Amino acid sequence: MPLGSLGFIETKSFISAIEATDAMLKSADINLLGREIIGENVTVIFSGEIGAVKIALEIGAEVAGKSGGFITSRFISRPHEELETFLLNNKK
Amino acid sequence: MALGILESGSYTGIIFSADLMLKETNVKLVSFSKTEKSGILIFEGDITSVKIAEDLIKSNLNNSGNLFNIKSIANPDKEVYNFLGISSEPKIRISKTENRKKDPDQVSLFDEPVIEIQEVNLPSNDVEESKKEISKPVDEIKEQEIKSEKKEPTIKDSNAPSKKENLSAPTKNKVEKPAPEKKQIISTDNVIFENEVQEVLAEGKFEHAELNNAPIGNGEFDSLISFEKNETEIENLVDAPELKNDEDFEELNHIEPEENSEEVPIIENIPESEQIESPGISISDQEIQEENVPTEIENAPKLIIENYDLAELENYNVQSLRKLAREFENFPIKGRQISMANKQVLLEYFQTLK
Repeated sequence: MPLGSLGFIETKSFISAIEATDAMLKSADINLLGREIIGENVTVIFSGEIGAVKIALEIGAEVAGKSGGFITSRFISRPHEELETFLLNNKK
Repeated sequence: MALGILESGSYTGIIFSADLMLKETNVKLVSFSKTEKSGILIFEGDITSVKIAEDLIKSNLNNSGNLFNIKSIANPDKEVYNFLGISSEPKIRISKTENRKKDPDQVSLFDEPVIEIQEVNLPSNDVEESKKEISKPVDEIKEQEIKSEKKEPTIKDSNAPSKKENLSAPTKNKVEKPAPEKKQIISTDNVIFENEVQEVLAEGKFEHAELNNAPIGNGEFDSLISFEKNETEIENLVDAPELKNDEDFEELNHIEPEENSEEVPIIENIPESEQIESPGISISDQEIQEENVPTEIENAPKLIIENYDLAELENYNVQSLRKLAREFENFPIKGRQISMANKQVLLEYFQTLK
């Protein structure tokens, strides 16, 4: 099934990532796809409708910024089909 | 096939750049692997598309930082594939073979117009056939109509005896008991009755109910036109009603006006069935005689109208009353006024006529 639009939020610490995901899930209607850790950076991936993803990104950036671990947040409104399969395969 | 390798410290950057690559260029993602401090994305495609992807990501990820390095290898050795843990047959090669398989299909698509031309030739043949059909109508249509008439009796068979009974019944029993219902069927407009029978037979639906409630044609001209059609059809359909039929006509014509004028039209129904029973002989003189028959039928009701009983008229439908009213030359109302009039109004006018 299509993922809709994708959102990524990347933080320096694992704790700030968890705080941000908690705030995002409470505030917006999004589905968590997973988390990816590269080095020290923790990336949380989620999907949903465009509006929900945008709001979640704003809120996640605020919450992660308060804890001082926010790095970047990205937003893909309509991901390529192969990218979806790539993400889902990596998830497994 | 060219390989591209992207190394970045942020997973978001990698996914974002992968999405960009997939959307902007013709590359495919091969694998993603992680080291301690970086993620590595491997993709492949044409040299040009890999190079374009490289430039794209350099310009894009540098803004957000965290791009460690990105390199493209134009023609990697097989051992490089083994080292990276990738199958030496890249995905894109498969896709390209698919494209090559699709290409001949596309060529076939270009060839399809030839097929379409053939298809076009077929309808053209059809057109020729249709033209032939159009060119031959004089003979074939007659044959078809004759066949259709021949088929009619099968439909009529169930109902034909009832008509014959009606015809025979009035001749015998009229003096004793006039059957009002049968007379209604008969006396409702004669022309209409014939047309309806033909139409209903053409539709393959022949029911007495429809005949009783059958709608009547609009205006006097319709009836005239229908008479003309009937004439032509009779000419075409029945090449030659036999002499017996003519004799029957004459007999019936003589007998019926004595009884009631209303029943005269029914005579037409008899010759059809009989003609169907005996098709084949074609005589031009008889056709001319047949042409005269319907004209007689036209004149017959007008002369006879005064013989109608009001009690019988009350049993008529509104439409049949209107049809009758149109056939009266002396009827006070004419044209659309008749079609607008109610049953009671029409009956009142009939009373005034009498």
